[in-house]
Amino acid sequence: MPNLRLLLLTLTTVLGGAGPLLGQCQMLYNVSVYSDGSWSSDLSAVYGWSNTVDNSTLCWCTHYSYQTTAYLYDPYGDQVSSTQAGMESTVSMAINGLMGTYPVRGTVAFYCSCFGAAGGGGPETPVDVPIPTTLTIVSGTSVQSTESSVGCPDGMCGNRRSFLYQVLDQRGQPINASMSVWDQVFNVNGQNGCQLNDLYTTTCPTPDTGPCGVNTSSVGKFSDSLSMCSTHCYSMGACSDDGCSTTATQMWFIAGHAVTTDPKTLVYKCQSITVNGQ
Amino acid sequence: MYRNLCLTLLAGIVVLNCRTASAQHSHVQSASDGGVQLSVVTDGSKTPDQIPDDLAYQHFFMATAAHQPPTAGEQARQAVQLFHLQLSSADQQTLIQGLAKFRAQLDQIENALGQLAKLSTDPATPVQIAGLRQQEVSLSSATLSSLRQTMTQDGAARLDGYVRTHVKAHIVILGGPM
Repeated sequence: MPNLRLLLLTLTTVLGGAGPLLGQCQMLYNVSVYSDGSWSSDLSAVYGWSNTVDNSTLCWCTHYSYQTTAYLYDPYGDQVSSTQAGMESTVSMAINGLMGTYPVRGTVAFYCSCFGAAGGGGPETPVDVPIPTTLTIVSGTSVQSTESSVGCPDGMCGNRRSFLYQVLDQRGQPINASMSVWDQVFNVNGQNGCQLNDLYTTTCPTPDTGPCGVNTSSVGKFSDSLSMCSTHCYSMGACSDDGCSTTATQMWFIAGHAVTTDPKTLVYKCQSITVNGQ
Repeated sequence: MYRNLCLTLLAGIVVLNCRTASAQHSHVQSASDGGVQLSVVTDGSKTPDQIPDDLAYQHFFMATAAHQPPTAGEQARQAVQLFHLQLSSADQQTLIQGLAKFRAQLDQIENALGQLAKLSTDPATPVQIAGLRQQEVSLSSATLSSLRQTMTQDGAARLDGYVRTHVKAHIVILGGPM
């Protein structure tokens, strides 16, 4: 008889709706995903990472076999990804001078013993790699040397100008990164009245063909030194000035990125060197 | 016999309850591969105040922690992650040391969770998993408390600002009821 009562009680419970009683513990997914990225301090690489925290209410279920994936896209949309077992994943990509927006995204997949495979992820979030856009001369750092202190070969004189550059991004903000720096100087229009040929210098030794081991400081500043020597600046055993002028275009490469937005016009004269007229 | 019948019925209720709830849920969808595709219920980029501080710190510590000694890859990744905090070198070193301790203990917890995953049919497993997940939360809280005591006031403020404004904006919470 007691057993019959138990059966009746059970049936009553079933028919009466046992959900509220037995369902007090309701399986509740609560999975957070953190996806982020950043660029290296020398602007050579960009990293993306993703990790997962599972705060689900498990009740009688278990979650296991987690796989976390971090996706990273370059500005052209090309993708690299890394899927790792567990709750974390990291991926990286060389920048190679391709500045711009690198979207990053993270996803997680796992298995629930009650409901099978599950997963999801967040939206793409942009990692803005700053674009070296302009180089500005830091105020108060320009030094113009005299002709006699340049150390030109016999029969020549010239001058030197030194100053600090600061690299700014597309928003005009300083790029706080230690970046490789090199430049190329072209005598584009053949305006070479001083007949400088190879007798001028810039940051890298001429002829400039690539990185020369010069880097900006951690706040994106570096020293540039322009000099020239010419027979046109020498006469009768002494330095002189016949009014010659040589015009050239200087193209900067910052962290492998050609700063085509800010080519510099250099004008070499016997007693001065100007950059964009300054 | 009746007793067994009753227990069977009770077990059936559990299963039915589970399946019914599954069919009624509103925040999850069936994925094309047959799995459950969890939806974003909280997007930190839109509502960062709905991302709890302790959760944001837990994610940040997981992302930035490296082993002691770190691998070359970990070191490069960590340098990138910490670069933008603009901490003093002393504060950065304190943070790195704190993160190394966090990583060592997190590894132990994750290893234990990995072992439990092999026992997914054991009724005791969910309780044990919940306990280990709580240990992770406690570890994160303890790490934060320790850092706040050992970093300078300025360093702790920079860290806090970064986690609250930047990290939270990159967290989403997925899920909903089943």
